[in-house]
Amino acid sequence: MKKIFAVALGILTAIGGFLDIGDIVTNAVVGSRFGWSLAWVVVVGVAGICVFAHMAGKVAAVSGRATFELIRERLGPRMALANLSASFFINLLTLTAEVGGIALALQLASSVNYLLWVPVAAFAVWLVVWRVGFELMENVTGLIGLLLIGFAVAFFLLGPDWGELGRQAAQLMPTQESPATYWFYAVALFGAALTPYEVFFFSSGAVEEGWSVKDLGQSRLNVLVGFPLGGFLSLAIAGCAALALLPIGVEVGTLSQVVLPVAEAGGTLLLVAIILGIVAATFGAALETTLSAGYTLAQFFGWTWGKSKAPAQAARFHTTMIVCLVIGLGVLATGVDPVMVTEVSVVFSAVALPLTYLPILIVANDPDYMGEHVNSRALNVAGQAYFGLILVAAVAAVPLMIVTGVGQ
Amino acid sequence: MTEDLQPARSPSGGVLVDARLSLLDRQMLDVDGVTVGVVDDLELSDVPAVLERGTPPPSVLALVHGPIVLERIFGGKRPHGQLLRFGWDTVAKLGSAVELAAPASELPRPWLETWLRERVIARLPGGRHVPG
Amino acid sequence: MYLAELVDAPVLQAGSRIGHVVDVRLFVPRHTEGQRVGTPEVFGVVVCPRRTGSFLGFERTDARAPALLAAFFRWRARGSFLVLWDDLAAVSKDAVELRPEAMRWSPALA
Repeated sequence: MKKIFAVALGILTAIGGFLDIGDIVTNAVVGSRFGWSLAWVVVVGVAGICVFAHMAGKVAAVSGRATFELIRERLGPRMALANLSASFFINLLTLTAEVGGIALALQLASSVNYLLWVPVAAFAVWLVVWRVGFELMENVTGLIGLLLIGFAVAFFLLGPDWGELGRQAAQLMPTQESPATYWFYAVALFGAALTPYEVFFFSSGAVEEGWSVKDLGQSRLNVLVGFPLGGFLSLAIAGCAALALLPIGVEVGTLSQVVLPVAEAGGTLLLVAIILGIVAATFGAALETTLSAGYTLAQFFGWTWGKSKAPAQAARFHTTMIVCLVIGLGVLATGVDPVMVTEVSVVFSAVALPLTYLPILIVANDPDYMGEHVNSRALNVAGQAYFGLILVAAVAAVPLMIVTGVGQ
Repeated sequence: MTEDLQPARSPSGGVLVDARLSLLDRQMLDVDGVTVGVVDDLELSDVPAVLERGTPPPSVLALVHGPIVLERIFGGKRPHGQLLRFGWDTVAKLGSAVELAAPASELPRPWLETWLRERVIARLPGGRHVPG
Repeated sequence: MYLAELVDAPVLQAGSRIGHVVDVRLFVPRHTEGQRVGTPEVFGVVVCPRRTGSFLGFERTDARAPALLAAFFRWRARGSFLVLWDDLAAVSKDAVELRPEAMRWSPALA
């Protein structure tokens, strides 16, 4: 049990990054349209976020500096502001979608219209940010979020045809979809795996928990357990959709369709577990994005920040988060589909990636910061290869989005 | 970088640092490690308009924090009124952040932080309590 | 005078623009009574012929990794040089003017 809590930060970060409402739906959409032919992107993306989250966690543990502080320090105010604008916008969209996602999950559970759940969800998120200790927050949401392993259970109960899935995974381009659409979803999944708020949250969380050089092992463990688990679960979601929905030609558009295969395979009990898991995961993602909104703005402007302090000690930080939640509420009140909101944000996040990961890569090699803990040669080879990939994804993202009309 | 240029003689009894690289845009921490701002600029002593040989170089008087950062990004006039000055003598250490020797309560504070604390955050229930 | 006003300022010599200020090199002496860190003074300015922005730390001789990024940023900084304070003829936020006979030194930071 203690081991599970030791990696709670990694699990919560990964759940927020891989299993937020946008990813849950995107994975199911991808599974129902492409089967497992995009599974390789998830694997590549998981390895990528592991490489960079490891560096960000290492820098935070050794120097006490969180990622947006590095961005401001190394890139200067102009580039940092460009990154802040993009990241903050994505963050706000995701936050909005997550609050909507909690409400949608509660609607599944209660049959009460989700719009009535929205204010409840937003208030609950604020209450946790305002009053609950950092470790309790990550332990509870992380642990309940693990119920999403139910998707993996459902996947196995559905009796996967490994030959068929293997054929899908090996065949890079399914014939029934256009190449542009295929690559649009590839970039979207890659962007989702590496969304910047994951490293903002992970590194700031490491500072909140007071990690130091002696916690480097814990940092590595968090990265190596959390993100692969997130990737594994998103493959399971895609797999469920591929098994249950692809053959009958259902394209996922709503949350209730996402859990359809689970109900089919595992009955009510598993469905209840999954819905509870989705509530926890979207709640975790909402917390992660709300806090990231505060972290990024505070670190750019040099405000006092920290959830572990009394709110009065970090007034601008807490005010930012309240304002963001209120904006999210306002957007949701217009009746916009929360799922659609994240699909757009995931693509925009690809554009913000290079400006986030370049300073991490550089500072993780800076002996003034890191002393003897600078990156190994192998980590730098991986880091630079991924940075190249990130540049390609960033350049390709917007044209692909336009050409395909957001993956239609 | 040009490799054929000679290195300049390094002065003894101190170190050389590049201001943009190692000082500008770094976080400032108080004596307890609490963030109290970012180094948005450095105030230098004034020098004559035309420099004769042998004019002593300007020295750093203070770290400056405030809305000045927007001027650095977008240009325009400096909002001198709202600048916070941290005199160089309070600097305790230059590292991944600039560490200051005084507690936050003795350092200049941004009015917005104080205003939001007194008028909004501290008035909400639990606003003065550490979560958990 | 503010230091950030000098950063990115155009650099003139004999009436023509020869580059931009990339960074301002400071000398931090040993501290005196009542101080913990000595008062820094301007040692010189690092000039790059193009307006490339910061060297991101790769001007330091011990910053060699990651290799590809280091090579790229050093290539971007090619032709840059250090000019000592004594070789500056005028300094303002609009421009930094070098003396005609100003010596150019290696910009590398040990």
